This record gives sequence, structure tokens and C-alpha cells, in this order.
Amino acid sequence: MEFAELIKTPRVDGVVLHRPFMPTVEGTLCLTGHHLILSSRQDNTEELWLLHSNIDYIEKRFVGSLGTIIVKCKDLRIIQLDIPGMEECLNIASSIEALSTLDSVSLMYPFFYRPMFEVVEDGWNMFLPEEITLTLLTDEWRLSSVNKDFGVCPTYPQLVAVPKAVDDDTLRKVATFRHGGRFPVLSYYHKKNGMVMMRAGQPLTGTNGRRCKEDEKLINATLRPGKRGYIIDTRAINVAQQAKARGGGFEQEASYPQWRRIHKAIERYNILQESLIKLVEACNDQSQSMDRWLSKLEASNWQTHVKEIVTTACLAAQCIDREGASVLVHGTEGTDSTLQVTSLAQIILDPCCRTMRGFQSLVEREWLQAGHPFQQRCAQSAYSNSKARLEAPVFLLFLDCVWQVLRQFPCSFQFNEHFLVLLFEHAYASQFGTFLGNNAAERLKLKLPQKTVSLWSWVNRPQEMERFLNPLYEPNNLVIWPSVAPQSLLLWEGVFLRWNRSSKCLDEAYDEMVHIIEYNKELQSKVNALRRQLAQLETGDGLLETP
Amino acid sequence: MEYITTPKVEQVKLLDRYTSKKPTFGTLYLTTTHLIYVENSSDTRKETWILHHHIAAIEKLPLTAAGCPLLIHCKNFHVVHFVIPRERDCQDVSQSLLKLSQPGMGSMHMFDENDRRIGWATVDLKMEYERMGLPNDLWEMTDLNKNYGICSTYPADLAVPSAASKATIVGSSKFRSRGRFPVLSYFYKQNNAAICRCSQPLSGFNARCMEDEQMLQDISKANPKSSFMYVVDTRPKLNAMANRAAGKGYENEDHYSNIRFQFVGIENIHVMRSSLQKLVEVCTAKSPTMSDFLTGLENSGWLRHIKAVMDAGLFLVKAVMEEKASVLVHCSDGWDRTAQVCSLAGILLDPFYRTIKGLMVLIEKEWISMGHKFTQRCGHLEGDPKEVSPIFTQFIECLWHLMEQFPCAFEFNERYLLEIHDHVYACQFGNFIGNCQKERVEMKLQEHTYSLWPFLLERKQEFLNPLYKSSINNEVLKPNTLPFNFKLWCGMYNRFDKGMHPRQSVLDCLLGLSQQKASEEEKMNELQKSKKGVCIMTDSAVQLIRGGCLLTSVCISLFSC
Repeated sequence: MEFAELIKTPRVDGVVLHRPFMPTVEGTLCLTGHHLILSSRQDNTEELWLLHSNIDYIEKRFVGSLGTIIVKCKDLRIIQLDIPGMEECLNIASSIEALSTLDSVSLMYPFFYRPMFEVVEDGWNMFLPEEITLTLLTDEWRLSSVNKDFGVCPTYPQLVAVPKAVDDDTLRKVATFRHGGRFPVLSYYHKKNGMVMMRAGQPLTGTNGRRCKEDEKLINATLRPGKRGYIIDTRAINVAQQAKARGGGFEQEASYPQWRRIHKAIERYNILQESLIKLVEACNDQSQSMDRWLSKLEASNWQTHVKEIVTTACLAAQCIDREGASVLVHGTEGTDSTLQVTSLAQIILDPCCRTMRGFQSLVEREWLQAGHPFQQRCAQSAYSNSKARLEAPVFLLFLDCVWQVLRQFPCSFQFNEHFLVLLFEHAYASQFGTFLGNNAAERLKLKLPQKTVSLWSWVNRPQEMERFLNPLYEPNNLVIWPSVAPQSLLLWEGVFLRWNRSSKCLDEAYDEMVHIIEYNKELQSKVNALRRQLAQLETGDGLLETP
Repeated sequence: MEYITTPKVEQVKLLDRYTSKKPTFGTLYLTTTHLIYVENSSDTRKETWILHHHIAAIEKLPLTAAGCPLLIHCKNFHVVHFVIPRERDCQDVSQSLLKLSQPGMGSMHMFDENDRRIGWATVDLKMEYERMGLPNDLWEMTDLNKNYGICSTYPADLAVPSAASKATIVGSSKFRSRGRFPVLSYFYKQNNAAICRCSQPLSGFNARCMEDEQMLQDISKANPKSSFMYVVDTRPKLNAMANRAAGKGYENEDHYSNIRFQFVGIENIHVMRSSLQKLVEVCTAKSPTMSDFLTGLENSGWLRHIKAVMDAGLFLVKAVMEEKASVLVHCSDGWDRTAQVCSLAGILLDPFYRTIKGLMVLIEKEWISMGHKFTQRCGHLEGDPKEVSPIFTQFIECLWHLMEQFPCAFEFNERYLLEIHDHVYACQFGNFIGNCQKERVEMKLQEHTYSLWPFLLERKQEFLNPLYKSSINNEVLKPNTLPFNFKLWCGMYNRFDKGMHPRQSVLDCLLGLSQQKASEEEKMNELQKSKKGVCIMTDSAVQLIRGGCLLTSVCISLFSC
């Protein structure tokens, strides 16, 4: 086994574990290829099984021969291990460091994980692209397999939905005019009025204002006669201007007269990563005054990012639903802020996306298939002090925005907050293969469906699903417009304060709420049963059956 | 009535502060008690009612082409922006409102209600002291202040240590600001520790008073198992020191035996007033960025003050619970910060105060009876604007923060807090009129006004917290007071900005379910009864059949009737 050489000391006795809100445990620490395990070997204390891939950063401290390792996890939890013996401690630390930063994806745990449950419905086959998009299609759209071998756009799936009037040759030409070959494709079809939302990479206009007739033809083909469309550029105008120097750019009014361009500034990459680091630092600082807390919260800018994304998604939704116009969304690559906007807009517009299945399908379609580079973005979380290059909490921000809408419409979602937290955890470290790889092509190469288990296979088992269902859910077919006032957007405590304060009382309240709702349902069914019985008795059925 | 010169103005525009939605047009009416705005829209009659007493400020903005804008700020944080077509009307309306919102004494509209005194017995403080376990060997009730002779701002009935002699009490009162000597606020019968309250000592730089020292010792000894007691000065140390120059100040630890002295640093009424003003500016800002909002929130200092009050309450609870020590609390006069801290400690320690009835009792005990100056602090009448301060609002907000942390611990919901807060300013009921008991007795409030409490009890259903678990609720609450636990109370300060709140209310859902539960249970009982009835009939019918009488048709016709 490849891991053996990385594990210098597989076992240490007499290790003391400190975890938030749990009693300290003394026991034996074991390192395996994928887990850090601490067991007291007594039945009544909980064991710790921590995936190495969940470890974001470790710190070592020594007092005499007693070493302490502080393990900071990607799910933002911090645990402490007191290890007797300096050498053992150093060995453990360097092993963890090596094991938590494996370079090869195929060495990751999902490739070794064997489910302890029977896979009833395979998550890998749940949302085939054909199925996903065919349901949406009208006679104006078709599925194209122009990207069958990922040659036209390496980050798109094999099948994409495009206007029927545009043939594959045109698509190939358009791809050369869009960043990363990401030509405009269908993201969402609004059944109510037939308007659509598309997404793409930035047009490669460059400094001399290059044009592409095919691109213009493609996106104009999505407009109804006499209708205008909106292009939502997720970059500030000056950022978009600067992109020209690097060969990028934006759609010029002259070339796209039927389209109105709107710029919205959503931040990317290291700015988001730094924001997360600052926010988590603020949340973890237990020593501060109110003023310091508020000023750090403000300085982290996290809430500002949330507000920007929700606002832009509302704008896109408004164009489609209120203005009756089609929308094209892009930023630079079209793999980050673009997806935040298109997926959140669908949550607002489409009641299906607020169901358990619908939301999974949205994540599959707008994030995984659409080529959000999970592997790169989620490689590090808030504690790593290695210089972030490609890491960014783009998906976490999206989940935060969904939570904000869920909080404002607590009865309109079939799933609850726990489900969003679960997705956050699994995007960063998981036994399942769902979030491995950066795009469909990579996943195919890694043979994930054959070699790993899908998160959805597990989540959709009735016994697991129950925990993630919102007891207050009442299907609501309306478009839901969230408020974007700063007063309405709160810190997502379920993620950011999760390890900093006990949630006992809040959990109790949630359980009580579930209890009340369940009790009412039971009561109602009892009343109905009694009514039926009585009706039977009264019509004499009971009488004839009794003897 | 003589204040109202223009009782009706038509074609008044109402602007929406947050959305650029079309403004509505309607008619403005002035009555003796309310300003009423009725929208013109034909389909649904939409009305906005504003109680004159709720009006905090009236602002006439510069004339515009559309008319004369009038901005009304209410004490319950409602802000309405009218545009009145003619300047003359606007002038009349604002003049009338100015007078109607702060009447001179005697014209508060409550006094127009005739002689009725129903329900003033709803809250009986004597019973409350009994509930606490008084009198007992250690504490007794005294009527020394029955004519308000020793302390004009204290109530007639007070609880003091049994060991304290009249001379000690009188002597101590002379050494305390405004005669507010140490009295019992809460007796924790589980371990005999007590929370007492008073005003600052007149110690200056070096004065001392044997009776006052004796009084503290009597309090300390009323908790025989503890060797010391805490004296908590809720002011910042600097303020307390400054008071020494005016012959006031704080206790010198050397002069009192076995006290542990502690400052907790809650700011004074003036700081709180200006903090609220800043907070309201932040909350009413037009489309602020997140950064503006958070910076504004920080600069207002409001949450810092709320945290300070909460920390002080928690300090008392820990002293009483964990150290089993008695605590004496004071600030300057002992009617603002002291009231906040003592009542908050009561809420944390005693589950009774977390019930609908219990909160009424607590407010009567620690605020109304102990002389929190509601008339002045709420600006009920024309008076010194420097006496107005949101001290009670802060207490109510602390309760909301506790409800956020302990959703199952309170019998009541957020609406109950808002309702009480509204009534504190509304003066529709007599409870919050006047500054102390003596004033209320002189005004004969109980003869001229109603008590709020029976009115609230009648509407109890609306105020219930469906998640309340009384059975497992005997615990002392120890809130987490790290800064991140405090957030803006949107339900209070942006209460009338409907668009900012969750569009679906979990509370309403759960209240609906409670009602549904009650009706289903009733149905079930009925059904079970009739099932029993039918079964008995069936049984007898079966007997009949078995007996050979095959008159089924008769039986069936029996059931159908």
C-alpha cells in the first residue's frame, strides 16, 4: 500500500483529544491511509474518525515532552490532540501533513470507500444530462453533442442545450470567440413565459474590438421577434475593460443592439478566499469586544459578497419574470460567479429547485456539469496559510445565499439547513466521489461512477433523507423575491458559529418543532381513521361483520 | 379638540421608504387620539393608524413641487413620510400633532375614560413576595415607607432584612442618593442568596455612615452560609469616580465588612439616548451597503450597550448561583441601570418570570413600583428632552436576545414584547404613567385608568410561544454573551418595513398548528364518544341477532337516526 511509507508512527497510546462541546477523551490514536482515528476503547465514549482530506492546517506545540497538535478542519472545526513523546508527535504531525495533501486524486478516500449500505438508487445515474435538459426543452432548443469528446470546450459536459436554429459548425466557431470555449448554452427555461437564461465565458473581443458573427447569431437566435435581452456581466465595468488587454472583454452595444448590458461586481478567487479567512478568524476570536467583532465582521466583507450575489440573482430573475426578457450571464471564465447567479436565480424562479431532488439536480447541472472546478476551489478552506491561488469559497457562498433565501421563506423549501451544511462539508472532504474532479471530462477520465459512490446514493435513502427534510415545507409555486436589505441578510450561524457555541437549545427547539408538526399529522390521521370507522359502523358494515 | 384645526386633508401622498414603488394617495384624518390615513385605492381599504402618543418627532422637510413633505418618527420605530399638497394644511397638521403627541398633564387622553378600575388586582406584588418565600427568618416586609416619607420614589411595601432596625434603615436612606436605601429585589430561596438594589452612597471622598454599613452587613448576614457579599456598581468606574466630587460615589471596601466591590460599566441615559438615535439612523438609511450598515451598527454602540446589560445580569446570576453570594446593585439613582440588571437577573434565575403572567409581575415589581421614571424616560409629556432614554427598550431587547438563544424557555413570543413596548409609550392604559408610586397614587390612576395586564391576558393566545416547554424549564439560563450572539433586532427597529422580514413566519405556522391541534383533539373526543355510543348500540343489536330476532332492518334504521 502506497500510504505505508507516509505513516511514520501508526499508533500512539495515551493521546488526549479535545473537541468543541464534547468531553475530552483519552485513548489510542491510529493513523490509516485516509483517517485519523482516536478511540478510548470504551463503549460509552464517542470515537473520532477524521478524514485526512478534511484537515486544512495543523499546528504543533511542545511543553517539555508533551506535544500538542491543533488540527484545523475544512469544516471549520478545531480539535486538539495532546500526544506524549516529542518524536511521536512530530511523526504524527508530518504524516498528517503528507496524508492530507495527496497530489493524486485517485488516491483519495472515495476510491477506497465501500458503502455499508445497499445502493438502491445510484446517484451517478440519477441526473443524466439528457434527462435534465430534455425536460426543459421546447421546440426552439435542441441538445447538441458537438462537445462529445470535450474538444470544443474542455469544461462543458458532452451534451449541451443550444438554440435549434444554430448548427454544430456555428457552435465550434462561437467557441473560439468565448473564454475557455464556453459558448452560450441554455441554463434555465422559464415555463411561465418562455424566456431563458443562458451562460457563457467572456467574449474574446480584445483591445481592437473583435467581433464574431456566429456569436451574435447564436445569442440573437434566443430572442423572440421584437424582444430585447439583458447581458449580465458579473464584473464591474472597469474590471471588464481591463480584461480586454488580456484578450477578453464584453459585448459591444454596436454588435449586439438588441441586448442591454448590465455590470454587477461580484468578487472572485483570492478576494473571496481572504474574505472567508477573515470571517472565520473573527468568529473564532472569543476574546473580543462588540466593537471589534462588528468591525472585523465588516472588514471580512463576507456579508457584502452575499448581498452582491443575491442582488445579482434577483436582477437576473427580475429580467426574466418581470420584464419578460431573456438573459445571458457571464463573468470571465463563466465557471464561478456566473454559476452563483444562474443557480440562485433558479432557486428564486423555479419551485422545482426548492425541492430535495430539484436542488440536487440544480447542483448537478449548474455546478458539477457546468464545470465549476470543485477540486481546485475546495482544496483549502479558511485555515490554510499557503498562498491561495485557485482556492475560493465560491460554492460555500452560493450555499450561504440559498440559506438566506431559505431563512426568508422558511416554508418554501423541501430541504432544511442541515442539508446545505452537508453539501458544504462534502464539497471540501468526503467519502463520496461526487465533488471530485473539476469538470465532466475529468470525472469521466477518473471513472468516478464506476469507482466511487455518489453522495446522492446515500442522501436519498429514506433513513438519511429524513434528517434533511424541512418539516414546514408547503409547496409554493410562486417566484420568491428575497429582501437584500442588510438587515435581512444574516451571518450563517449554522456554518460559521457552529463550533463556537453550543447549539443545544436551538437543536431542542428544532426537535420540538418537528414534534409539534408530527403530532398534528398523527392526530389528523387518527381523526380521519375514527371518522371512517364510525361511518362504517353507521352504515351497518360493522354490524354484519361482527358475528 | 381645540388642538385640531384641520381634521381632514385629502390627496395626501404616502411614500414608501424602501421600494421606489408608486406612492399611494389617500386622506389624512386627525382625531383626538389618532392620526389615520386611508388609502384611496378602491378595492381594499388600507388604513394606517398612528397613536398620537407614539409620535416621537415631526419633521417638516423643504417644500417640493409635489407639496409639503412631513416626516413622522414614532416611538415604536414606525416612520411615515407624507406629502401634503398645500403648505398651509401641512403646517396645521404638524402643529396639531406636536401638541397632541405631548399633552400637558391632565389632558392625557386616558383621563377621558371614566371612572373604572377593573383589573388593577391582576398583579399583586404582595403575592409575589410570598411566592419568593417571604416573609421568613431572614427577610420581612416593612411598611416604614407607607407615606413615602423615607423615600419618595420607593413604593409603600418593601422587603428588608429582618435584622435591620428602623434606625438602620432610616440612617442608611439618609446616606443614599434620593433616600433609595438597599431593599430586596429577588430572594433565591434555593440557597438564600439575595439580590438587593439601592442608589449610590453619598460617600464623596471620605464620608461614611455607620447605619449604611450596618445595613449592608444585615443583608450579608441574611445569607448565613456566605462569608461575603458583592456590591455591584453598574456604572463605568470613571463616572462613579466623577460623582465623588459631587459628594456621591461608591462604597469604600475598607469601610464595609466583607464586601467585594465590582464595576460593570453600563453607560448612562444620555449615552443610551444618542446611541439609539444613531441606531435608528442606520436602520432608516436609504439603501445602505452592507459595509455602511455594519459600520453604522458598530458606531452606534447599541449592541455594545445591550451586551453590557446582559453581562451584568449574568454576573449577578453567577454570583447568586455559583458563589451563593448575595449581591447589592446600584448605579446613580438606582432606577435605570439597576432596574435593567435586577430584572434581567430575575428572568435568568426564575422560570416564573419567563411566563406571560410572570413578566407582568416582574415589570410591575422592578420597574413600575421601584420608580423607573416612565413619564420622563418615555417623554409622555412636554418636558426635558434630556430625561428621555430607551432604558426599558433595552431591557425588552435583552429578553429578545435571550429568546433567540433559548427558544423553548419563554412562554411568550416576540409579539408580546412588542405589544408591551408599544403600550409603554401609548398611555392607553395607566400602568406606565407617572414616575413613581407616590405620583400614581396622587393621580388616582387606579380610579381613572385601566390596567394593561388583563387586556393582554385576554389576548394570551396571540402571545404564546408554541415551542415553550414548561416541564423541562426549571433551569437557570446562562446566556452566551460573546459578541457574535448579538444582532440587530429587525423585528423592533425595522418592524414596519414589512419587506425586510421573512416572508413566511414560522411563528404563524406553529400558532396555526396549535389551534388546529386543539380543534382536532376536540373532534377526536367527539368521535370517540359517538363511536362508543354506536358500539353499545351495535353490541345490543348483535345480541338481538343472536337471540334469533333477525330484524336487522330495524336496527339499521336505528343507526341512521
